[in-house]
Amino acid sequence: MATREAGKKMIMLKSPDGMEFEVEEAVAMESQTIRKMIEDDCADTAILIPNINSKILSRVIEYCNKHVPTTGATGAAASDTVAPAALAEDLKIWDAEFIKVNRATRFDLIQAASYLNIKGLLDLTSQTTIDTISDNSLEEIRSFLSTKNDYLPEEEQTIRRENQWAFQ
Amino acid sequence: MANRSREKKEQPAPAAESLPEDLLLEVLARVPYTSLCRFKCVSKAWLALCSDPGLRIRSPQALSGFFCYARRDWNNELRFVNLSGRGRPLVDPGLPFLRGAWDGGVRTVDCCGGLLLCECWKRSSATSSDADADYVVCNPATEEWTVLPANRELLQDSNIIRLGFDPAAPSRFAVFVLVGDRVTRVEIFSSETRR
Repeated sequence: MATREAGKKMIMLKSPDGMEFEVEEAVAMESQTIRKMIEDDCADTAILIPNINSKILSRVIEYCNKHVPTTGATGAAASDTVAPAALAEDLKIWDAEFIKVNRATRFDLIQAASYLNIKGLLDLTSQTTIDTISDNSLEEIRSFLSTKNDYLPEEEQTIRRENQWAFQ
Repeated sequence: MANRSREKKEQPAPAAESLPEDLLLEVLARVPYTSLCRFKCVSKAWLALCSDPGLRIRSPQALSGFFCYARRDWNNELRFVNLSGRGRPLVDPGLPFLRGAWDGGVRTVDCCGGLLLCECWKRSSATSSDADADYVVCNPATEEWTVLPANRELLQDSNIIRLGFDPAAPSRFAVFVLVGDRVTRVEIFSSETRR
């Protein structure tokens, strides 16, 4: 395992398209998947992250960098309780900017967050997607999802009638 | 692996369907129950997705309101009141999912922990006595129900019927029938033993 200034452990993450990212161990361990690999001693040289291309992986690392508990904190839970409200507010604003990406990138981020098991990122990406479509009309949702209405007219009438209360 | 990810990038606009089903469920688990019901109307695939029982359990505000009778109404109409502060009722108090099997009428007898105990009639017997009623325990959030086995004591007007529920195991319930004016006997139906 490589080491750098201040004795911080560094971890090398490799994307399948050949890019390498050197990140602090604490940052990489925001991902429960990577944390498990490190704790199981499966991460001596570099960790190959399958399925996640360098563009997405760099965004994920950016997220983890921002969200890693501040120095001195022993764990995520501890930093959550001592973090001042202003810091939390700052993170929220940062998150909102971070997630301003197109739909395809957002879906890629959801897949990455799920594979790497980064709960905060999965919550953020999923919730933003839901917020985008929740209050839209059915037509808008279909067009957002590029999905077709495959109900027969009478089938649609029935399903609409059964769920009419949800539209009121 | 690398190839697959590159191929995917080249697609012009990956649809949500390109998210595997488990991830779609992960996303949908954050949707309030009302929105799930609306999403059912999007397409058949989404009807199947949004009907996933696991999803309904995880869905936020699955039941964040309560049933009550509107007293001013002569017919004692059952209402559902939201506690979420938003206007739409999360549950249709008309219990339409029961009306398919019991077209004669549905009357709520008791309510406990999100479960309802209802007296239901088929149309053919709507005019006749209580003797033809079925007693049904249902969960309006998941639209599941259980018909209680026919029991003479259930149908006696003077007997009091109450629903009990174990908060630690939300799917478990018991129905108590207090028999006689001075409660000489109690009949119990348990969802576990189904007797």
